Amino acid sequence: MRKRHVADGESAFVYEAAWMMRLLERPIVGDESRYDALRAAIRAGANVDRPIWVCGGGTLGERLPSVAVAVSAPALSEPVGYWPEDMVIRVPAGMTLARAREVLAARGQELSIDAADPARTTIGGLVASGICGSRRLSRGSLRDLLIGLTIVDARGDLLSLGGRVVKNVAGYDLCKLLIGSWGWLAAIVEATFRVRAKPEASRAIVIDLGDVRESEELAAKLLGSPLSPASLDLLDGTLARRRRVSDGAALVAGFEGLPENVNGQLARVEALLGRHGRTLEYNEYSAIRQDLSDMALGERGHIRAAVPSGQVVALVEQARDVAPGVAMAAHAGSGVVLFDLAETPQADRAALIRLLDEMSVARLIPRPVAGCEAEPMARLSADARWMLRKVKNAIDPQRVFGRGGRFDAAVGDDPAGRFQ
Amino acid sequence: MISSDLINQIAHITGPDAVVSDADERRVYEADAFTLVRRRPGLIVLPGSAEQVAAIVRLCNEFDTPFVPRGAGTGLAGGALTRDDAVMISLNRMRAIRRIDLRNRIAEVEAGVINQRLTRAVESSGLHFAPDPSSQQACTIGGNVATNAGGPHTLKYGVTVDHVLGVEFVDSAGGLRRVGGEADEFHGPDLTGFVVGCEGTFGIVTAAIVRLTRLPEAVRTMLAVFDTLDDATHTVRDVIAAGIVPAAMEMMDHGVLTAVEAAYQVGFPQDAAAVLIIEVDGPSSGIERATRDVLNICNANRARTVRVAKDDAERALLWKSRKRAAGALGRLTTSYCTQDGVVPRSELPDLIREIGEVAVRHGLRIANLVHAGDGNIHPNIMFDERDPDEVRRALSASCEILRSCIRRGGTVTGEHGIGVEKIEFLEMQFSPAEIGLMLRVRDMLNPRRLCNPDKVFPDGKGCWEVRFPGKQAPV
Ligand SMILES: Cc1cc2nc3c(=O)[nH]c(=O)nc-3n(C[C@H](O)[C@H](O)[C@H](O)COP(=O)(O)OP(=O)(O)OC[C@H]3O[C@@H](n4cnc5c(N)ncnc54)[C@H](O)[C@@H]3O)c2cc1C
Ligand SMILES: Cc1cc2nc3c(=O)[nH]c(=O)nc-3n(C[C@H](O)[C@H](O)[C@H](O)COP(=O)(O)OP(=O)(O)OC[C@H]3O[C@@H](n4cnc5c(N)ncnc54)[C@H](O)[C@@H]3O)c2cc1C
Repeated sequence: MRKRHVADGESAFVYEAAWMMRLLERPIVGDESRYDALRAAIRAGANVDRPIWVCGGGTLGERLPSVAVAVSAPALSEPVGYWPEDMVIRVPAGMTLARAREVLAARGQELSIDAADPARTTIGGLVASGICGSRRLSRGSLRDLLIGLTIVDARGDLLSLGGRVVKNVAGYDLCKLLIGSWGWLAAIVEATFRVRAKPEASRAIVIDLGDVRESEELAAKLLGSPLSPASLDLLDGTLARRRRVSDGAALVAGFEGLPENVNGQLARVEALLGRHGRTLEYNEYSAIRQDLSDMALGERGHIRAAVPSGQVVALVEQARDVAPGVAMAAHAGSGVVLFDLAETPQADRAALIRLLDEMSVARLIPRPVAGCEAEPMARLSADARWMLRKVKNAIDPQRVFGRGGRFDAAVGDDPAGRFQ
Repeated sequence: MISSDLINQIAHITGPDAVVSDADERRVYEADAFTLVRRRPGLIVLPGSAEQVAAIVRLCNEFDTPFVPRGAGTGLAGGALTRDDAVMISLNRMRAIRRIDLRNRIAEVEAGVINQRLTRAVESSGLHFAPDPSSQQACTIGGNVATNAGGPHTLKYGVTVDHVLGVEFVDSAGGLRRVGGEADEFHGPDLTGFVVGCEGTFGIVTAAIVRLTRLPEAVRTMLAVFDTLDDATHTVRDVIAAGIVPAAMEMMDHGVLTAVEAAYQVGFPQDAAAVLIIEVDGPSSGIERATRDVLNICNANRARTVRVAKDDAERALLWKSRKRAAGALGRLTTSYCTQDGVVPRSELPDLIREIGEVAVRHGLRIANLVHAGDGNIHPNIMFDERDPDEVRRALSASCEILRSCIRRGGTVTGEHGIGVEKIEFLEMQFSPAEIGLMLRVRDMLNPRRLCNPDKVFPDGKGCWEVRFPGKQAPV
């Protein structure tokens, strides 16, 4: 047994695989698959009725109860399968996003997902959190790119869901349930994605705004036009200045693809909006996207809210009215608003939360900061809770995974055992 | 046999004109487009609202009577088959487009809305509902959601699930539920995505919130003619590998293109081995370069001719030929069976070659229609149903092709679903433990198994006797 730093300032007991195996009464079935140790650990944990906690890179992982058995998918550095000509890759869940990008880049391809701290974020954590950044507007979210998963369930069985083809309707698509499952249903050990060719050109245009309100009309014009932005992000004055994008609020529209296409569209943005803009080259454009994803990190205090895209500006404006000290950005095309609470007075934080409550806006608050409790899981509707209990009872009836964690709380913890 | 008490109570909910109990009238509903199994439903009811659906389902539970959702009945896997001890719940009267929100580009539609009607309703605003199954003039949004339907343009735009943000459904006990919503981002498992594609095995979809997609500014549709199948399939492989994402890339082989030419006079050369219809679309800037790249790849693969449709009329003709291709095949044979399998795209050349060998070995004609960009094949196996030996050979050929799809890392259905047709193939594709997990989920959500019983999963095997290996239906 070894104590290891697991997640953000919190330590838990990580049972080493060899020790776990001794715990097992029966020999490990199957061959020498690379996941045997993990499977054994999960079975052993289940046998001794300890909750199993699946860890990724710990980027934003929650605090583990000290009784938990922490497991993580092996941090292998090579893909399990890569079919560049099919534009499909299967990677181990413990691989970091940065490494996956590296492997793909060597063949001129990419997984078009933006996420916080790619050197630490794992593929398993990415799928399990189901959260991604700017380019989902054009490239699709994880849900659209994920075509298969391999998981270890609470019985220690290795199961393959979905497949490696881009179209597949055989049986239930259980992959969908693992997306955003926060380690609550099973341990993900491999994920298969459709990837794409790295675009020949990737540039963005920054439009300075006198006021965030202007962005409403501009964003609507752009999204209603024939142009197809890869991303459309809004930064308020505070963030735009902090990230040296502009002196005031700014709208950043990214375009990717053939150079003719990208340059043509950049030129048309100015004509369409009747505004001059400043072009950002590849590096600056990716840095802004990374910055926005990284807002979730650290102790600064962060709220992530989700609304229909047409309501982004209204939310941003109302938030500014009730909490003038809050810094904000938004993935305006996909309806995600990011609040940075670092330099926000406590009263403003409380006012902001009240506003989100009043507007029934779905949100995540990864960490507590003064005046603002952590809400690492969104509040779920009664119907979602009903369905999740059924799913949990089917997939992990002993409630081995994530017991007592954010999901149990969100779904309605029932200490008597099975969810009703 | 449905108890008269249940019939009366259902009629009380919907009004008597929404209930079909007469034996002759029920015959209309005895099959979907998978015509090889026929079962006359015990009763058909056409509710007018989600609340009525819920009330009917509760009654069925009370009377311990199974019930089956049905849309337009264009399904190709027998998913809507209903036995005479069960109630068919047809969503055809639930055709309201509840709301179109142009600003957020979403619509909330009832399950019985016809796919194409939704697009018609929004196209003047420059939008459309992107999933475009060839049956789109008839099939319903509810059916599309239940089967996760695709279409030629899913290559670029994605299948139904990629366009559904929220679902309203009646659960197996009669509770009206809503999952998902209007926002793109959700936190927690993708319940909406999970409901899509479940073939009605644990609930009845009554409405969906769907995404509307902008119509492209520029479209170029190309027709490339090839002297060998290999050249055509290599073109497909090369286009994908070059990182080009056409809006659609469809292949028709010699068998299909001659039938199509006879029916529609598109100008396909009769001696060609295959044609590809490749469409690129997007903003006008860049479209010429994308077109040129595709043309170059076709030429590098020895295309005999490649041409770009010169106007909308020519483009429409090409698409008509594709979407009605299988109908044209009906003129060549008494019966044929349309299969549906998927392989990784680089496997397409080998698979198509193997299908040719299978045809020779079994002494059958097989014509291929392929959503080539997705690796989704529809081999049409022609046979004479009066000849038992030929029927047997067609069955073996069908089976061999699907097994080959699995062996090559693919799947036994890319868009038609499992229904009753492919239950046995599900067992070839997934391990018992994997199917066991799906079954545990189904049993949790449909514990009494009253909702669309004996479909999709092996525990329903044996309940349906399939007389012939496939169907006579166009794709
Ligand atoms: C509350 C919250 C808000 C976020 N907001 C943003 C944001 O605004 N922008 C952005 O780009 N990203 C955001 N993220 C995503 C985050 O940046 C990471 O990409 C993600 O958490 C994965 O990182 P990780 O590998 O370090 O996983 P961890 O942080 O270690 O784990 C994340 C969750 O996934 C589970 N998990 C990890 N690995 C597995 C596995 N193999 N199998 C099953 N479950 C597993 C864990 O149990 C845990 O619940 C957010 C994440 C959280 C938790
Ligand atoms: C000429 C032709 C061309 C076709 N082309 C394509 C194609 O290109 N791509 C493609 O994917 N498919 C195609 N199909 C197959 C079929 O059209 C699709 O599967 C379609 O989605 C079925 O819709 P429907 O309304 O007819 O559903 P039905 O056939 O009535 O039902 C199909 C299945 O869904 C269930 N179901 C129906 N409505 C609901 C509901 N409201 N709630 C829950 N479950 C429900 C049924 O129980 C059944 O299992 C084609 C079929 C034909 C005949």
